[in-house]
Amino acid sequence: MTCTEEEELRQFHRGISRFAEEFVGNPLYRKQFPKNAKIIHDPLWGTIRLEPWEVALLDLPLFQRLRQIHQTSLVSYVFPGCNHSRFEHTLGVIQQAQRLIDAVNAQYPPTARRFEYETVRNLRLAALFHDCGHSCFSHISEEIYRSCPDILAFFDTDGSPQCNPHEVFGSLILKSDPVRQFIKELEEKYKITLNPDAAANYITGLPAEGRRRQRYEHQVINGPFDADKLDYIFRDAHYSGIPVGLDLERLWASCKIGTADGGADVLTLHQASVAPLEQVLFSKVNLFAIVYQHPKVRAAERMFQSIIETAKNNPDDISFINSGRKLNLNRATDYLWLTDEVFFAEALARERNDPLHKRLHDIRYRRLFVRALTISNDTIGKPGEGFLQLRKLNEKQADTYAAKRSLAGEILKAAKLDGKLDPGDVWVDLPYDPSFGEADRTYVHTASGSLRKVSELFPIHYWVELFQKHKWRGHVFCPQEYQQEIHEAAVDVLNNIYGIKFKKSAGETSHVPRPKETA
Amino acid sequence: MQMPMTAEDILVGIFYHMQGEKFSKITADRESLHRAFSDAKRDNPEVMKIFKFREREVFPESNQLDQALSNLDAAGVITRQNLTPRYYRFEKHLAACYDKFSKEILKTAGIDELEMKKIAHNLLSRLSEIPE
Repeated sequence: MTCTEEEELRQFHRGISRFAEEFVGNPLYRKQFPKNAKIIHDPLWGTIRLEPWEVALLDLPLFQRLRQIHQTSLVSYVFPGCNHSRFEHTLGVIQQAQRLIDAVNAQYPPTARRFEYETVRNLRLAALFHDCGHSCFSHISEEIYRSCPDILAFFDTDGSPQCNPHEVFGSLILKSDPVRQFIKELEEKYKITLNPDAAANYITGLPAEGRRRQRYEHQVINGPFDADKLDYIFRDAHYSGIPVGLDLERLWASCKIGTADGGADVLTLHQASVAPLEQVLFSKVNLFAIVYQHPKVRAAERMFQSIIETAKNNPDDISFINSGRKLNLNRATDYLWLTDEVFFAEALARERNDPLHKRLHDIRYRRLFVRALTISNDTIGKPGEGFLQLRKLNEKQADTYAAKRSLAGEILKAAKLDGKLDPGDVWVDLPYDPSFGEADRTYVHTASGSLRKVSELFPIHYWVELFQKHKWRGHVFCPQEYQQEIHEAAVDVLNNIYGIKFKKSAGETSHVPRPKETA
Repeated sequence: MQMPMTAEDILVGIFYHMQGEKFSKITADRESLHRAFSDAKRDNPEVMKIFKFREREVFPESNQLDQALSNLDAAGVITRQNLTPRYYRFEKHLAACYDKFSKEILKTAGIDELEMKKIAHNLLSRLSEIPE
């Protein structure tokens, strides 16, 4: 490890501590501990009962800030009902975790319950903290800060690769000194025991010390049909106005513990209860195709990225401020201080003649980028080696991001619009594919009593992948007034670099006035 | 324009060399694929470092492998036949993918062709069995 990496790692851990000190340990924001449990009404799940220790935690700024983070990034600019926050989702995950636990315990006699009281408490603690590491507009900012040098230094040295950055944040915040101190006070006040280390492992999906065999425990938070997934699918579908049909009662009715290959005890379903899992997968693919990857949503997200990119490159010209602290967006941990509210506050602070005022207000007042080109199997001549080289840029890597930006720069250059547009106005957008590994991670009890993977019985994942493949669309985005010029330039540049030929439909689908055809 | 090296180039390299050993298809069973590539990474950590494996499920899983297979499939470089999606078949584009792009990209990234051939050879026995 180089000195620079060591310094980055030190800064990373310092950043987590600083955040936890402000959002958990700051006495300015402390409230009295509640005496009783509280009932919260959720539009989706109805009555949610929270223990007093959970209410005390929820009262912390760490969780209250989740009210200021949209669950579904900028989706509300297309689906106006999608204004729900990470806060509501967090409550929903606690509720779903409890229902899943109760459903499994109900399968066994009271003396043989699979989830002991202490485990249940730690799982609820994990559910509470599972999204506390989210930043502005949830996963969109995550795509940016995952390439910051401090978090890269952490991933290089830590033994838990492949966790999402917000999960890493959540688990580290949970294990931070201010949180441990707060939890100690809760334990004394309410005469309970909580294990922040076990809960942190549930969030990252790593087996807790001495609990390697009990994989079903972390599957409540991190599994093929975990509480997080069930809540977000239901909630996002409900608020976007695209309701899904999931028979959760049927799913839970047969949920038991079984021993998988390798000896781990996992959550299982009965063969007759596979239909609800199939519904989960189809609902997920529908949400991606209809909601999360809607072209206008993707356009708004690129506009957000363009502002963050400007802030990263010109920290003296644009900075976001929280509690008087100027944020450095080249540090992943500083994103923890950035909420949707903090982001838009910068728009309000800027003078009208400031270029950034316009950019921020373009999002605020929904003057969004338009499509200049649609890239898909339907709009290109023949897929092949060039298409693969372009499509692979949807991998989440720092250098694929740089390559897409450089490609957008080439398009801008070819359009000869220097001075009229700047690099932040042209974007090549290539969405990644959602993973459908759930069918390989779910075991079912067959009529003969054996355990088999869902994917062995029916290749459901193949069908949803096929569906996704045909729904996938990449785009080139730009401001409306330069759509024609950027369209023509994009068609030429992608042909020159990758040899991709476009049909007229590539422009027609994007509503370009005079679509160019090369196929 | 500089082309970044991604998991797709590694797969193209491996599949190209498998094709060179007269194999035209491999299993599409996700568990077999992820286990085999995880083992290949254990044996060749430098070449395969782009694949990151999540160890928290029943078998090691890599997002990069899932995404790369999906991209190769979408680009028609490998295909699965409807109703029998148990294997991936290498298509004629594979050689062109390697010759026109991936060969040079891998070379620039310092990945030796012989090493790639060795990995392909070792993976053959693991991936050529098509589950019934």
